Amino acid sequence: MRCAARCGQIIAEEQDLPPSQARALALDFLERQARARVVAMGPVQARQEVLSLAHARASLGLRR
Amino acid sequence: MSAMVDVAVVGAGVAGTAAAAAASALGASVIVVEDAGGASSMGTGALDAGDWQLAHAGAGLEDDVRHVLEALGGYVLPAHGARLLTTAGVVRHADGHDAALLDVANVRAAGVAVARCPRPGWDADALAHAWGPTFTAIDATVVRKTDERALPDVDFALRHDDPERLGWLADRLKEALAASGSRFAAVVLPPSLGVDAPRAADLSGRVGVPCGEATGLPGGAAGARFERARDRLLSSGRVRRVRGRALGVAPHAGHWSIALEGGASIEAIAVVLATGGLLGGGIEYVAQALPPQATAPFRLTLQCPGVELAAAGRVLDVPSSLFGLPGEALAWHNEDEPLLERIGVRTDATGRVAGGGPPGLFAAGDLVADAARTWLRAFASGVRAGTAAARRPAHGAGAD
Repeated sequence: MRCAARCGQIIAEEQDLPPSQARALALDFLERQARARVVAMGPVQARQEVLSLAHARASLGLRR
Repeated sequence: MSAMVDVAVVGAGVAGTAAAAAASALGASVIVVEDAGGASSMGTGALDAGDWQLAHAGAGLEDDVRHVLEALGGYVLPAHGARLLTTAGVVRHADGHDAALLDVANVRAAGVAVARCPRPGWDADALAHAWGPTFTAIDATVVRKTDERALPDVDFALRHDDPERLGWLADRLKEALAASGSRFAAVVLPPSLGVDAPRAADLSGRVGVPCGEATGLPGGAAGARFERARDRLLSSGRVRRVRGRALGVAPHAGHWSIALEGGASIEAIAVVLATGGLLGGGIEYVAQALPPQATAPFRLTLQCPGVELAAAGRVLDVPSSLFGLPGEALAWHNEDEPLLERIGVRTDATGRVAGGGPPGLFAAGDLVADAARTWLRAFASGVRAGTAAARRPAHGAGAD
């Protein structure tokens, strides 16, 4: 999650985009990855998904 | 073991701790059944009542909830909330926080120094840039020994429980501030400031400006500090603690019986379930069978006859689609909370299990359906459930 946030920041800096756009880029990426994973989700991964959500919400915010 | 108590609490996370403390404060005899650490041990130190990105009118906590939180110690609830720094580069609102974290809500006059130091995931220059123009990275010696460059956050934070080490850090930060040639109103550090207790206030006093941490990763120092605070609170009351896995809860001869792994049981007048949601292990996602053998995709990990899982105000359906639940409904936050975070047990306002569940049974924390999975809401629901359980007349299960 922090890697996605940092990547979003770097891309936004390179393209002269505002910090809010950096967050949106990171969230787009994280959401796409989550949707790709969920079709094969099992009991253990379900816990991991909830942790990912909770951490992303706490550190990045999930609303654009 | 077979003991009769007024209130048995299953789970020792944020909600279970609050429930046990609230019930004990009312004079009830309380026993806590605790298994391995759950979601509460993974907290980042930010205390939210709801979604921090939405408008806030303060945490709005009742006095009894505040009293239990004060008894826990180590947490701060500023009147107008706090502004915390995350290691994802975001400055965010919070209703309260672990006292080791730096609150920049009132830092206006001068900038905030971000200490450059070789800790995992800590890039002071990138963070300062992301947090905004108020923040400036400065060279500072925070790491004392080479091995500390790679120590997990909890182990690194533990070193600052030593007053001598904290004094050494204070001296280094004072030197760094002086060498920077600028005036700073505060200093932010990676997660590092104590495990036994938050050391930010002590460090700030020694340095002369507010010092504190940014929020860290799950499973870091903030979670460990909660566990220490919990242990102190529960050991200071009349709360007995039993380590082990609870297998089931059922009404038995006018009271409640909790079956423990290994064959032991606990008898109680009332029970508070605070076993957590998906993350804490109170609810389990189960691989879906295809129709016609289809089953609900979630289940309680504790055997609890008559208690049903629900979401969005309805008992959980068995998916009728050949493909089960759509992934979009399960996993990622969209306009609504995903099902993974909404699924739980329905309760009334006091935390009593609703929807036909047996009386005298309460639920709190992330086990509750459709409740925000936040620290303060879990804590408040624990206080309410513990209070209601302790006040329940001692005439046994099924007597309501």
